[in-house]
Amino acid sequence: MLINKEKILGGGFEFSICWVIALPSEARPIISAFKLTKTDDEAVFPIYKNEVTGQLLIISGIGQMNAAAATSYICGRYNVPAWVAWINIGIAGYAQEPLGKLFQVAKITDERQTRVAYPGFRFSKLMPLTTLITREQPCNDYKTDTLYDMEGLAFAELASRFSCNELTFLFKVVSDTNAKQLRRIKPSYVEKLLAQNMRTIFLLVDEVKELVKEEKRRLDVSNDVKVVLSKFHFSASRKVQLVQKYRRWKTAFPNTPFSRACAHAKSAGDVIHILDEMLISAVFDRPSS
Amino acid sequence: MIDTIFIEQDVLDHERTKTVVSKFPKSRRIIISRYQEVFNKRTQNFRLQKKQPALILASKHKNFVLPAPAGFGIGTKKNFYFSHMYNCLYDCRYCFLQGMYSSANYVLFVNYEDFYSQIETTISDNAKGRITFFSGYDCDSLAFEKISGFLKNTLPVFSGLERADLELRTKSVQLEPLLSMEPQQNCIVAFSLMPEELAKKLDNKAPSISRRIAALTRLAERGWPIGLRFDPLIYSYDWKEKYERLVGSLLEALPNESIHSISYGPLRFPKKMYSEIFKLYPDEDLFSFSMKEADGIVSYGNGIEKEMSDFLLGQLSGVVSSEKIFQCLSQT
Repeated sequence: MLINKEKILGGGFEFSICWVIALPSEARPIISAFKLTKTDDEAVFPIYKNEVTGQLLIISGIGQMNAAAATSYICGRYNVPAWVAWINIGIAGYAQEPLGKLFQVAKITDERQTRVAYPGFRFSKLMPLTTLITREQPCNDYKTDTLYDMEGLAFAELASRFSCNELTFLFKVVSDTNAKQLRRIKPSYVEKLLAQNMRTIFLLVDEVKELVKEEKRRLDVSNDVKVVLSKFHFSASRKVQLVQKYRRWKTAFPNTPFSRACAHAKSAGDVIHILDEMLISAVFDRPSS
Repeated sequence: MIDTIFIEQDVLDHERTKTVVSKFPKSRRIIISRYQEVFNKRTQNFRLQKKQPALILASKHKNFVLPAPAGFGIGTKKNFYFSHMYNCLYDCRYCFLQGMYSSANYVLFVNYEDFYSQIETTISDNAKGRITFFSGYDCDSLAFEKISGFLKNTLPVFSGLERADLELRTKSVQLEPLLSMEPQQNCIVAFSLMPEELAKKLDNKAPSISRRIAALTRLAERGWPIGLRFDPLIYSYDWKEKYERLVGSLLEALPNESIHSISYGPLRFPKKMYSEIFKLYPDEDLFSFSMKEADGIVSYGNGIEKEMSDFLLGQLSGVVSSEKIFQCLSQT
């Protein structure tokens, strides 16, 4: 249902993080802490955003199907670029207390261990790492040293395709360790569990944003290139050439304005030719580089 | 510092696994079925992963010893390589590993004995002539030694073998167990070298060239045969002056008789590999220069390659016997 796709290019929306969260009670502390506001009333999932910090949040509902659908939906609807980080945060069952402890997930499987994912650049200095089993139904027969949730695996499989494994993160807060606790889980309790970890979550988000910046620098197409692409007609293969040659040229001649270098170009072919001519002199380790 | 160790279920109780794991008491251990499920996953980001690689402890099941690529060798006709480890502690910008693997995690195969068994079989299967085994093809031979203990176990395997040589290819200045062992004349410690100014820009996380020269000098004094590897030769501004200085420092530091062999090779990549590496590091100055593509290989082109080779040979001519000098034309 790709209606009302937001125009991200030129819209001033610098994406950095997409949150995919199952429950409103899990999302509320994030929405509040990062000053996200409800947007896009026609969307089939509740969506929140903060344009200044480049964050989008979608509330998926419970289960793998919902998590996969919401992840795909927001990616398609907002044309989320490949350098954006994807975060799934929420509660999970665990065999051991303390309740409220925050983990980063380093391995996820389904119950039968037929599917497996290893998401995320690891932030082991900020929180412990552990494994997660994503189940179809709630349970309370928790094995030692493994978290249990109902969305993680599908989210990880999808989000890593839209971005990459290292920018796909799952953070889980221990909400229950037995059946009695599981039955008592209420929205206010869930909010409290997330809220008490916000200090660590802020630190995580700062770290994640650094990785996003690095990936954006690597993947984003420069405005110089966008201007030239709008001015001349480039075939698909020439467009690829332009992007690559421009990167090499910019590295070799960082102080030369592209508009000046290509001032006399009258066609796409001229632009490529000018770059080729200049790159001949781009010897590695020259004094100015 | 390794924060996470993925361990194949089958090697959990292996003594070597326990030894390696004990060296990282604070690391998180995660059990896996086979190393490929972590290492070969698509959608991994090599560049981000390289900031903090995990260690994977695994068992290798086949292909313990493989024929070296054509054009790779230091004098013998039969050349083989083995890889007890995939990936390297260093982050050299020209390294083919970054274009070959989708993961920057280190894989260490703990079943060394299976490698040794296959090495012995390879020697007996090639009854005539000398054989050279290369160990530093998919990793650095020495850099991980404190953790892996691979050389400490492997050097005795080659001790006394009259027809088999072992080349240890390295940039490491971690010299144990070599300094505390008796030198073996069939084990060549071969250092990868390039001018200091270029290494500073390209050999990330690796010891400086001056430290490498100091290390190889110590090994030469101890009696180990030394290999000098100018592979790849890097074309750069003032490259002649840079290589002249490098060769001068090496020949000044190293007694001629300690030089077992010198090999050199041009910077070359298969097209697909070059494209992968460029995608990872599009702002790398090394790739600004217009390289040429011919027959699926990206290189400086024959003209530059020949000019650089001739220059290097000129620097060595009359000082090092030409019988010790080999051109390496392997295409990684």
